[in-house]
Amino acid sequence: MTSTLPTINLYEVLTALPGDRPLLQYEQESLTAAELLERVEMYRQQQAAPSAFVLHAGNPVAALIQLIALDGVASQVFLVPESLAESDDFALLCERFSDYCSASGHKQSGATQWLLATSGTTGTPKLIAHDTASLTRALKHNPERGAGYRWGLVYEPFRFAGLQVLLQSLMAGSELIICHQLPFSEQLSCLRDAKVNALSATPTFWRKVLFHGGLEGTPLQQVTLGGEPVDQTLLDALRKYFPQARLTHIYAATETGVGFAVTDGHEGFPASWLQTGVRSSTGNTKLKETPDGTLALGRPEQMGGEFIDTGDRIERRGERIVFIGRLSGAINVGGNKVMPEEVELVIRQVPGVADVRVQGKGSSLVGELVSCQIVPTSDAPEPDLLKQAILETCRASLARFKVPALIGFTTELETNATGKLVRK
Amino acid sequence: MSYREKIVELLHEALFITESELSGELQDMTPLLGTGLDSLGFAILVARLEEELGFDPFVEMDEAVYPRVFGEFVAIYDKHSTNH
Repeated sequence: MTSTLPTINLYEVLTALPGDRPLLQYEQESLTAAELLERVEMYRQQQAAPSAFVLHAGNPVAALIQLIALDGVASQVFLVPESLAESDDFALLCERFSDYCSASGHKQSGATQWLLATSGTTGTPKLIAHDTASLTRALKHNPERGAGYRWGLVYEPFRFAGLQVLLQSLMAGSELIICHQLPFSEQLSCLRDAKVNALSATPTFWRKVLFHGGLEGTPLQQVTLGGEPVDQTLLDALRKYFPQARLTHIYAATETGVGFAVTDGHEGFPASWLQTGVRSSTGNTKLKETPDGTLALGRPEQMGGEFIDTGDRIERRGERIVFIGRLSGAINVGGNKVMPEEVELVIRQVPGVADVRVQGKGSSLVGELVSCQIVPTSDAPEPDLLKQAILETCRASLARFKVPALIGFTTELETNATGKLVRK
Repeated sequence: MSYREKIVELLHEALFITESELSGELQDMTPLLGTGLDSLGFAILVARLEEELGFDPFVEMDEAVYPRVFGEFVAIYDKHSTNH
């Protein structure tokens, strides 16, 4: 989304940082601001200025160097997370990127447009255009204070949440410890060894940290949660385990490029914000409830000002507004979105299945799990055999987190007045 | 059937569902990360236990306590069973 926010250029941000400031650690490599700048300049000298560019995150250090070098130089850059490059959607999105570039044309000057893929909540992922100003709008830009923070990166760098961490550490000149590529237990030792004191992750990641231990004694000053609804049990546990940390839960979406943060240690957000909006150092975000019972977020005036429906259902509990799931019925398994219809389609192919309904089942550990109710045909095999056949079929064609975790049997599925499956 | 037996039975079921394997023998001091189940597998185990036992101690806890080893995991179910 192109904005009329004041222009920010990542190259200028980097040149303004003290040269000896440590900025990056990845595997065996560590770079100061001056070393990073040298690599950025080398890249700029060696490469002709491209108009449109597809940038892969495979090596995050190289990706960050290119990200800085291309800012203000390239017209459009498609940021490709590794998980997307490996998926079936990649070819389609490349085509869309190419169409987008032809339609927008080559600009001689002006802000670079960054194209990010959404996580595909509503089926096929979409490309959303940002500029550096809209991406960094909510970030703190204070290199003096930033010197005291060491951020851990456990998100993919080119997904929206990961990009926010990456850009936050660059904007504030804080050291970034990249360890998203490691298995969980190695991530923990990496974060510990590097004495990371600021970490942004999904509620599911934080529950794993609490469940398995490993970050005790880590001097965490900033604990940030996002990507999934946050519950009070988790907030209380984090408060207990990291008493010195500031607890922030972020509500943001790639689509809107806006969001807000809650720092009072309570789940949801104050109901009064639906009237007043959320004031922060970076501006005012307006919130409202749609007739569908979902939350809509207002873009800042400089970005058009209109309201965007997030599709997240909300409910008032006392003085708080809490999130109660997606209007679309999408299931959030540890930050990964699952559309029930996609799983239903696969299960219906299994011989012995007459009908099926897939829905989310609340989980105290990963937010939600995929659960299904099966109506067997009259000549269906024994439940255990049918269960096994369903699992095998799902495993063969679905990502692991989409495979039903719970399989139940019933004789009839409830439908509403229009004959549609009741999903709640 | 004791809670321990039920947990072991459903742990094997969760291993099967997630196509994982038990790494070594299951003992009280086995770290949960060393059982072969990842976080999705544990979430399935806890959800299946809720279906079978009728409660989820990780929702009902007044004070969040998180087990690190298998013995502590079983102990949390034993402790919460007194409320049911």
